[in-house]
Amino acid sequence: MAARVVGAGETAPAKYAWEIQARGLRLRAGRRTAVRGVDLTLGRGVHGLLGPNGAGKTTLIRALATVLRPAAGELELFGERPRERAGLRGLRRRIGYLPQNFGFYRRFTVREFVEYMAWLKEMPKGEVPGAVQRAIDRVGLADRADEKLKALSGGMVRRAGIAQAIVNDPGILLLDEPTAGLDPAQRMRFRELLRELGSDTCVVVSTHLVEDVATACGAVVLIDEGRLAFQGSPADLAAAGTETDLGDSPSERGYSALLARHREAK
Amino acid sequence: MTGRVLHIELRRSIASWLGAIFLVLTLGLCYGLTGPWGKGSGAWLAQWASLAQWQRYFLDFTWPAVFALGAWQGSRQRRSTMDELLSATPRPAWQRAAVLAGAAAITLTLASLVFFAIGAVQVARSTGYFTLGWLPTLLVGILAVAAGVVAGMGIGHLLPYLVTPPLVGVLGFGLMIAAQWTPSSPVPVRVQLFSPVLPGAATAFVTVAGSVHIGQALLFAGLAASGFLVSVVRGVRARIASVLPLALGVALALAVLPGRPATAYPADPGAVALVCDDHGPRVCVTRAHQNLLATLAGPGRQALARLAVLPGAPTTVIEIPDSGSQYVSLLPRPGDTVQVDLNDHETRYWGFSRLDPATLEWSMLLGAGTEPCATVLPPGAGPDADLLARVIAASWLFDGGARPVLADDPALASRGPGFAQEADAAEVALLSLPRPEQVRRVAAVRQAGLTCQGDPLALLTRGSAFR
Repeated sequence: MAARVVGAGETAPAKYAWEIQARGLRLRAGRRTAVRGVDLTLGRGVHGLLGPNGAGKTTLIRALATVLRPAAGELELFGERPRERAGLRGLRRRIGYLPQNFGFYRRFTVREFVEYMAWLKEMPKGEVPGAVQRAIDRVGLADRADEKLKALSGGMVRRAGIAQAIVNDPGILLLDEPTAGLDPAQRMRFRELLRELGSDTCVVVSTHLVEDVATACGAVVLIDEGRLAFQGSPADLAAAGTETDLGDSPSERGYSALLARHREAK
Repeated sequence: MTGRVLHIELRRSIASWLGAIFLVLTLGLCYGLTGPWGKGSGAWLAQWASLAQWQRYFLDFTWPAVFALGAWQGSRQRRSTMDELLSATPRPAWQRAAVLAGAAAITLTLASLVFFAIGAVQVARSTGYFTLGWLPTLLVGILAVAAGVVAGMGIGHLLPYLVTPPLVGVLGFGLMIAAQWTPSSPVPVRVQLFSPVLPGAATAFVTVAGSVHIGQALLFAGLAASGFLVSVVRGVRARIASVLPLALGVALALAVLPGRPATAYPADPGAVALVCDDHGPRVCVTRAHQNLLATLAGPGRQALARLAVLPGAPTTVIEIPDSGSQYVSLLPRPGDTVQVDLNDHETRYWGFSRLDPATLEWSMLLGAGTEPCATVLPPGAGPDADLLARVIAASWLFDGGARPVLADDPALASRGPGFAQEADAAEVALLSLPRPEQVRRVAAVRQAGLTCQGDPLALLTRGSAFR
């Protein structure tokens, strides 16, 4: 790759208040409208995106990843609208994305795959080897780095997926169900990694495991049936529930209570 | 970084397999099977141009394989459910596709060059005739396989199903068969020339016209461009539009490609030019066989010396380019010349073991130093009166009846005991005549060979042209 000229926009201090800002965002998943008017502002930190199956979590994340165009409303990433081609390319360099249905080339080794993704994210040539090693180290795959992806277990593949998502030190990191297939020890390590990443990155983690959100996220976004049901801290989430609500922990009871309240309000 | 990714694709995509399969398949076909590529003056290891042309001939089988493997590679993205991840990356899709196509093209190019190099080692030893005529044949061949793999990738990308690669392979093979080069094919020559397959060099003296190279290069460039575009563009309309380069290639190819086989595969004037040895009676060979001049000169002069007993004996030996035995009766036959076709399918099958001096001399005495007048039957096809007369005349000239007629011709010995007995009996009868009558009758056989009139066996056994 030719040496990339670092644009002024990348070195200048941020000119935006929020990494992600959405106003009246409507999104279609096929013919169905999956997200119906969401206002959202997300800055640095780890945001847990909660909601029942079919709530629109994946659709929302796909829009944030610039894969899906908004049907209506406004979406700004790093203060820019992901519209015109040239601008989109610049935005995508600063986004990390782990899709829910994470596909990969089976014959590639972990290192090769992460390198390949770094190339696709147009990282400067000189930074790639170091960034790849760092990303692999961070997800704990250093000892398996030169094994082919097809030889790895499901949990390890997931970690390789996280490695490719973080390899470009993204300003926005979108993880759709990253903890699926991880064992408890891996999950604990992953939460630690999330907290670490959240210090300088806007991380959006979609999950339906309320406990992940309660322990690893600084903020909670709850959506239901394509609408924002709640945005607040994990403490607020836990506080929303009462003993009568469904759930085994305060967070889960809060989740149930907020969902029920949101559905009643409609 | 692109170099590093290219390296990854070379190792992890189908590219390395593609090159290996292509090379092994081609080598297996030409070394493992016997076929037209091993025969005649245009055998694949006989001449530079022949090597390149036969290499194109094997594309009959390897091109469909490459096409199908390309389709398999083209479906990788969908098979691996990578679409979602890739569509969120900034690098344009064409760069991704270009690296993958580049990896495949590199291994196929290497495989083609390795095959050519293996052949070249042997060709360099067997011929002294070198022009760069092979180069465009080889390069267009490489372009054709590269276009095949890229087109396959396009189809595989468009239709990422498990059945696609085998169907693409069958389709490719069907196209090769349909365009098969035969003089009687109902397909117009221009369309036959759409195939990457060349018919293979029939002789050392034909070449491939520049218009064929240019037309095919345009066609395959169009095919590659369309295959590449299909892999890259999005949307139905853009995909339909990506057929345009192929359509343009077809149109240009139709305008450029020749319409007749003789125009497509013209004689090579450099190859048929004569190289002569004038240290003694003149002996000439074609430039294509110039390194055989020394081999031919001795036996040629020996033959001339033996023929000198005849009235009006020839004084020169000249190799005539073999242009296919069906034309042999149309040859001008000057009386002062012994014409030698080193590929005459009679006794001088092209093969280096057969070019020992005694065999060569014997072969030049056949028919008292004349070429056969009709296509000679292959060995074992039954007695042939003309051949019998030709052989007896040679035997008489060679050793005057000291040895059985067929002692010097193992190729004819396979014609069965009847043929040999008949030959020996006729020679004994000839030798029982007075010497001047023997000379007269052998001279009459030569005359019959030069004019292609009269029955040489009747002339030899009865002294008249009628049996």
